[in-house]
Amino acid sequence: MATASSSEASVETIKIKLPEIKLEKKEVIFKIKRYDPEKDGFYWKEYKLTITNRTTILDALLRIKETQDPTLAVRYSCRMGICGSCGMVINGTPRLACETKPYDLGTSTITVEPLSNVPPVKDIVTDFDKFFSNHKSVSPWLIRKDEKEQFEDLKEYYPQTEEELDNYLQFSYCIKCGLCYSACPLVFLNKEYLGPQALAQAYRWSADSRDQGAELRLKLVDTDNGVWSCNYSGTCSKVCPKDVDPALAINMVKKMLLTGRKR
Amino acid sequence: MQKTRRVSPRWGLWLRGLDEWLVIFQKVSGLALALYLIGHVLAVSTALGFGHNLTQQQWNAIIFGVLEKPHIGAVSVGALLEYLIGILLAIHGANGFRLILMQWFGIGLPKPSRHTFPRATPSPNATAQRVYKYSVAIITIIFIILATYDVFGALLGW
Repeated sequence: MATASSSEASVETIKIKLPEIKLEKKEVIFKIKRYDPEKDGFYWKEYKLTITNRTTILDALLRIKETQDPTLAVRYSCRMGICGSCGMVINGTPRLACETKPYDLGTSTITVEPLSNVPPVKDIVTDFDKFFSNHKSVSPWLIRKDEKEQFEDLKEYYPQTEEELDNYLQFSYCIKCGLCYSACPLVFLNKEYLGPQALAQAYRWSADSRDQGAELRLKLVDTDNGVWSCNYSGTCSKVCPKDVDPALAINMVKKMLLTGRKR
Repeated sequence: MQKTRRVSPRWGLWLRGLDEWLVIFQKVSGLALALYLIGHVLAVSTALGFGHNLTQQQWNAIIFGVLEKPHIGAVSVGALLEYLIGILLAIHGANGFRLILMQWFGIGLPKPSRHTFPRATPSPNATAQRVYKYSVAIITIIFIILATYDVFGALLGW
């Protein structure tokens, strides 16, 4: 019979040294451009808040809502740069509130505004109806000539090489946050312009080797309100939080249309 | 809910980079050149009497009397106008050529690639694009110097 001491398993404690997190605090003023739908007007309101170097703009806005002004309307969902719900203009640049830290911006006053080029709903919440309808208008899905085979009789998945995947992969990271649409000067000049997001998706699907709908899709964007409204200011690509590079996609579509080559 | 009115833009966003300035120059110079073209056709047509009986005196009266006679300092309005049009043409032409090369032939456009987080370089900041943009700026500056020499050279004692 084994003694009690020999049956006890020896437990070794492994000590892992975690990196030290230095919390730095500072007080900042949030200057928020709010929209009142009843009066149909904008007004600015200021809030003082103590933030740390770990606080995001979204954290700060929610803190303001909890502790100072419950009437402040903010739209958000995932809090981690995936859903694209919390796009807003922060210190003059369209950014995701959940991915921007006020501490890193380096200013003592931080301006927060609703996204431009879209209608306001309330405060910094904006209406994306037109943005989404533009997206839908370019048929952003896989089109096959034989729909029966695609949806009913599919025997095996459509094969694709790594190289073919690289042709469109970066454009498939779009989270539809609308930052590119808000930043585009041509959307401001031409209200009917489809915008960088929709056009980038037109390229994304047309460049997919499995897709057979490029002809139909390119016809839709080969218009004055399609790719030909783009003057390559590149602002869309500079503000994109996912590095989708819509400006590149739009120019690839133009190249496709002018040369007749799919890729 | 408000449906038609859009949130006004932050203009500062469009004044930060050379790409944005090139778009502004392209639009403004294009509009100015279109207006000039209409004005030019009207001025010459008037000088030519719109196809009716024309004398050398009528032509001289319009071309030299209206366009060449008024002076701002030592330079005639006509010469000043041509100088400005020349600069606009240089900007519009050089940038237009850049856009044609890029959009038609795809020269200078990077190949789509997999991401390298954090922050892959957006295509407008790629090296080839920088070369394009700075070439446009350099060509325009050279043209401005040459045009200034041609129009104001004698005046400036060059």
